[in-house]
Amino acid sequence: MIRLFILFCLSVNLYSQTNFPNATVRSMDNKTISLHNLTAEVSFVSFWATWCLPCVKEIDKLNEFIHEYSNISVILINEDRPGDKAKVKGFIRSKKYPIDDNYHVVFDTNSKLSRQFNAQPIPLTLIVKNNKVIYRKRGFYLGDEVELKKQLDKALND
Amino acid sequence: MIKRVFINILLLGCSYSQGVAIDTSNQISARYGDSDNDYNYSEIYLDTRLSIDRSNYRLESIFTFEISDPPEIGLNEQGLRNFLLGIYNDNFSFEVGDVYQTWGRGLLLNQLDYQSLDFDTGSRGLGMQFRNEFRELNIIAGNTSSRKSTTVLGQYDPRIPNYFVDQFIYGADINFSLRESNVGASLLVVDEDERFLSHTLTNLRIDKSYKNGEFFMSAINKVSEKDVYPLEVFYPKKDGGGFYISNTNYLKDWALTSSYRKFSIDINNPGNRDNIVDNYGQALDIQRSPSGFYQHTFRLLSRNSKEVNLNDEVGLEIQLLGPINQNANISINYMKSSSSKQWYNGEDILIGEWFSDNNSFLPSSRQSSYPFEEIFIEFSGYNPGRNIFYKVGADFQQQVFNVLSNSAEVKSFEITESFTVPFLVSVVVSPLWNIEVQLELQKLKTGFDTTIISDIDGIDNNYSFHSLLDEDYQKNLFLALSANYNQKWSFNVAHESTNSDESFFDNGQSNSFDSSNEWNAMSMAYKFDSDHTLELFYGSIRGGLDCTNGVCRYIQAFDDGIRIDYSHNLD
Repeated sequence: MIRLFILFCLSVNLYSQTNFPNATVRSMDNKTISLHNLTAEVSFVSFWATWCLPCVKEIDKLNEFIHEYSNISVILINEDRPGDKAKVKGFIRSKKYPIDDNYHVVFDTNSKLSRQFNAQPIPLTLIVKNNKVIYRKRGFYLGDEVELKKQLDKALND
Repeated sequence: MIKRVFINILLLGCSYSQGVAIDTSNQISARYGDSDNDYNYSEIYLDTRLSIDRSNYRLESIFTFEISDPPEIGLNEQGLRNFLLGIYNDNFSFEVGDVYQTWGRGLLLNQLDYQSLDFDTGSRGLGMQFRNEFRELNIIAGNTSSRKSTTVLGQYDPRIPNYFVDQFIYGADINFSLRESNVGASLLVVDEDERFLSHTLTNLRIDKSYKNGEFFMSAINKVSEKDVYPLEVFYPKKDGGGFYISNTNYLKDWALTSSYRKFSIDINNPGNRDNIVDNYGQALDIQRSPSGFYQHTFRLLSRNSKEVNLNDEVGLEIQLLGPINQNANISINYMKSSSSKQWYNGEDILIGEWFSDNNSFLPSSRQSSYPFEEIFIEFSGYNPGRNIFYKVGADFQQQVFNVLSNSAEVKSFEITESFTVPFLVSVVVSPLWNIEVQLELQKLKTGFDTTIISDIDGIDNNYSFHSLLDEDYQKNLFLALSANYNQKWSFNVAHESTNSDESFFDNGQSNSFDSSNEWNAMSMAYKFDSDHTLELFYGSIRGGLDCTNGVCRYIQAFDDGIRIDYSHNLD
């Protein structure tokens, strides 16, 4: 059985394209949104939570340079408990996350996306181009933002 | 049956593979541990996710296999651990397999899978969702199996569960969006054949966002009925409930969040308050309270974490967050809770009779009401050059977690008090090197507070404190150093020590108590690429409470051994 399963995984891998799915998520004001309505040609996606220190550091560093890129969409997929929504909103406000039409914080209802992307442990960061995942990174240390910026530039220029 | 499902998926995959976008994600992880105190484990997980995208819908499957003998925590598994098959589009989703749903903010239903705590409350069955811009309907039906380790039953082992509950759950949840507001209602029925039990849960909730904040309220009712069959014993119907209110207000860049909760799903006296086996009216594992505590991430503070008690708790929580300057933030948190009643004994303690009086709507500070209080202040931020990140805090906690007696003659309570200072600094030393230091200091008192009341004029009451440790105050220290090179290598050393161990508890009958005074460990990890890691560990880890998102479990110590963790994403 396991052998059959592994064979299946490997055979399907040949056709893999790592699409970024058009799944539904919840907006800050609890509305249902499709992810493809939020993505741009190049998007920066991160699974994060307020209690996850590497996640918070990654977003802090992202916020230092993201204003240089007017054509990139940022999608921060929150993985805090659903009961902590009020705290998450307060956290975003106090950290001055620059939420606008190109910078979104959304909630992963039922942890569906987290399951689909095997996002734990967070942070899991994706760079998405034309709704295809072209870069994937787990974890964050201060200084890693240099590599993230390089990958964003590469995605824009390729 | 499972073989047939695989063959069907294989055929489906092949038939679609030529013209349709197929996306797969496969992950393998292997973990091995071997320690001097027999905390040995070996486990392999294989996850595969398949997604087939058509223009107007998406098919998905998730299969997880586990081979463990034994696992780090839980029972041995050899084969399929869980699976999910689903079809999704903008207005509809249908899932078969291990379904996880959260309704509202989880007061009635919040299904979780925390493998590291052996906590899985998913349902094997089906789930559906219908939605449009203004409405959303969720439906669930399936079998839920939860398992725990409890001292109420024999053969207690913190790693291996000794209490199992199988339930069949079915119900629906509807949510309406009205401008800036959302209104939701849920009904869930939970049947337990083994205990001849039926629970009916209902929930109403509303949230409203406005320019300068948000408001949320949720109310729940739970009725539990136990059939008299086969013992012909009368079991009263348990009818409990509760509500939760929270409010966040923004004041420029500052956010003030406050919440109030009053839960009385199943109130029991101190004698059987913690008996999860016989208290058939208790809140279910699929229920989670909205926020009510601070989610600590520091090591020592995490071991002191508080879990909200849905059965009997009145609580307040206030959090103020804001920037001090361009580079630094402050977080001030205050939490207070108690039981909804104060408990006292009758005249004859030996009979073990308990009586109670209701508290007011606010949490009580009386020791007979299980008071809990915490103040946590934290600063975090960067230096002006923004290459150093720091986080420093102070935490005060006091809690009565057991009322042993409260009579006219003797008052005795099991208490803990702690003061903790956590500190973390992370420095970019060069473009290739990053160093992180974490230091935590804690002073902790745990034991029995006893007062013998004098009935003779002129003679004072006799107060005493009996520590559960061999010192009145336990002084704990945790120090960790970590160096990371070029996003590839990571080197870590950790040291933890205490002046007072748990040998007072240790009767040699259980391996759940740790009699060490010092725990040292070193580890190194190598990233082959961004999601392909090998980690080697040697040393000891102190046992204690381990909490993930409000779910806590006692984890036994890992004594002088090795651990090997390997994970690889096969994308």
